[in-house]
Amino acid sequence: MRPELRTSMNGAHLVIAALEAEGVDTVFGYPGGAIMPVYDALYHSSLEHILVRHEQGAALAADGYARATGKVGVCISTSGPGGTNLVTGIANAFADSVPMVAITGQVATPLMGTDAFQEVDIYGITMPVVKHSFLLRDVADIPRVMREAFRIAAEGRPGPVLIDLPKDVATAQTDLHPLLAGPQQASRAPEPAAASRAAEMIRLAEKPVLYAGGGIVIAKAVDTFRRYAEMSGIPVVTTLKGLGAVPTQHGQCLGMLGMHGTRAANEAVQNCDLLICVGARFDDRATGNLDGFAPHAKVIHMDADPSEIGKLRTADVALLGDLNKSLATLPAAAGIEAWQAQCERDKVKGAWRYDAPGDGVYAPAMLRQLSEEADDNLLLTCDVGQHQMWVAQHCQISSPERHLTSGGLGTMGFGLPAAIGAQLGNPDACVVCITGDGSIMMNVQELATINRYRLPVKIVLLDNSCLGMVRQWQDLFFDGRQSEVDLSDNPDFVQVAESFGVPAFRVERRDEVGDAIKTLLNSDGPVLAHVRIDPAANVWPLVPPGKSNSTMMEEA
Amino acid sequence: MKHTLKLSVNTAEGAILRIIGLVERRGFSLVRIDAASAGDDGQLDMELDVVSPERSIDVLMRQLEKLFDVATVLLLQSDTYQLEIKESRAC
Ligand SMILES: Cc1ncc(C[n+]2csc(CCOP(=O)(O)OP(=O)(O)O)c2C)c(N)n1
Repeated sequence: MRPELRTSMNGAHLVIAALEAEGVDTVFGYPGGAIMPVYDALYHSSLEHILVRHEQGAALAADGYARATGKVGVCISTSGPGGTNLVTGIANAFADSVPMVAITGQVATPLMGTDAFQEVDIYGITMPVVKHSFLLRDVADIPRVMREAFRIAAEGRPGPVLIDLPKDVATAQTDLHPLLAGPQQASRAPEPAAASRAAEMIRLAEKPVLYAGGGIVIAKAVDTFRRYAEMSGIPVVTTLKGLGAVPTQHGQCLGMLGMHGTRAANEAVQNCDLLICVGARFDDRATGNLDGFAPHAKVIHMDADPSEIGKLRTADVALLGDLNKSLATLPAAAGIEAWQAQCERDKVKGAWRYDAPGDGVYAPAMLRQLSEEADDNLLLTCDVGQHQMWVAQHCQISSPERHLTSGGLGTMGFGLPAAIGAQLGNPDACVVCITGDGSIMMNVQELATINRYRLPVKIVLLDNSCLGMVRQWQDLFFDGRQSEVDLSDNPDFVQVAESFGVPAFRVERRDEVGDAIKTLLNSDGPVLAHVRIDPAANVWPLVPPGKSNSTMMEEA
Repeated sequence: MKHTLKLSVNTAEGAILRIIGLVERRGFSLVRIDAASAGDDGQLDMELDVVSPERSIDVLMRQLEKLFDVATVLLLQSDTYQLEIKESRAC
């Protein structure tokens, strides 16, 4: 029998009550000394707590949950090592503008600054990777700080907010109540003068391109963007995180630009006379050498974050504010038929080929087929490396919140916890995690979480017995000196998965791929496919680091 | 260029660290800091001289304005300046 319901309330109860008042239903975490009052308060709460097996898994799962649902993800850890284990996940959310609240236990305030057991300055450590943070020194501040944290995490350009909670504040008695969530800040519309200049530039442009980034999904502007793209007829290129802004199969979509982008996308940008940047930020992986990026183009830059304007590329016109409102001011383009035809020709010329020789599994073809056979209910999460780029290049992606990828930070180990968060936030989705033999080992312990909650996550482990992306760069740019990239002594991944209670099978030949995909898509529970692929396979095309996007290397 | 910025800051724990950290991480060198409490309303007045050969002061100002503890940012003046210490830059 459970102990009696408490009668008096302490800071920890207030924190949990505030989470409930914010509408949170799922939190990810791992207990320990300084956070024990919060775990005690959880005991009788309505929240579903997901016990991960490493705090990094909690932060990355909260990130995946937030990306898949658009809600604020919540993770909880104890002080010291618990907090430091969250840091990679917090940084990941910061780099990709994901709304998150991270709550860390802290030693009691009289002990702070004395090098107490499990004391670490997590407030200081995380300062460069949070949108904001709070050190809760007074129980009376809890209602305000909790409300502010959720508001800040979600509004404008979202990001992670850290709340460091000392143990004595968590145990202090209080009769306060959580604040109710207030109205959302009204979103901002672009300045009319800027909007009319932008409109004029679009009417005059002969070769315009829409450069679509992750800001579109963050602003919940996917539908508005699609309507504008179709109404204007302007060719679309996307960033890694913008994939799906229009479905990747859409006729106007030229694919991803940048280092591993398509030739059609990069050529369109290099040749365009007007670049309309919608919620993207001129990241170096997208632009290549910045001086040579879109050299003939005027730029319209649309973003919610004023500090992105002019950070890397000067904008001729900036439309600041809600992308929904900015997009609604833009007119159709006129007289761009020749340009559309040229983009279309480049797209046909550069179409992917899947007729690689041999009997081995050709990863791009398998990924393509998987995404074709799944329906729009497919939700992909990726790890980091070659397989991540193959997903971006070859999978059909129906909308950006169905392709979760660590774009800004490039965090190996993201895929599995992100899949856990995405599945919990979206129980009906067919969640498939595409991972590599390097990346899976970064958070392999979360197979235990998948098993514990019987999450029907499907895992496709593309095993090339090496750190493929690093090996590719060593081959191409370091004269083939393969330094510390060999993973040929990997464990038997089928046995690993099975020992965690996740059924698994192996795929070694091309003629096994069709059945493997059926097994994956038709299993009710979790399943892992261990797929052996060519250790020498590379990702093509590739813009060498520091070169302009006009310089695309192809397979020799 | 050397720029003199005047900031009005809400004195929250860590606010000064956050400001200084941001300035340096965004590729500027700090060559002067003055800070004093502006009275008993919890505000702090700060003046910073920051130097960068190439980075835009407008962007830095907008980045500072985004900090929740920063109430206002003003540019007092900009001069040419020869930076002697080695610049640390984000890559
Ligand atoms: C946490 C972390 N450590 C190191 C890296 C650098 N890195 C980028 S890709 C890569 C190799 C990934 O190997 P694997 O997961 O097997 O994928 P593959 O490239 O072989 O498809 C490495 C080590 C990283 N991105 N993240």
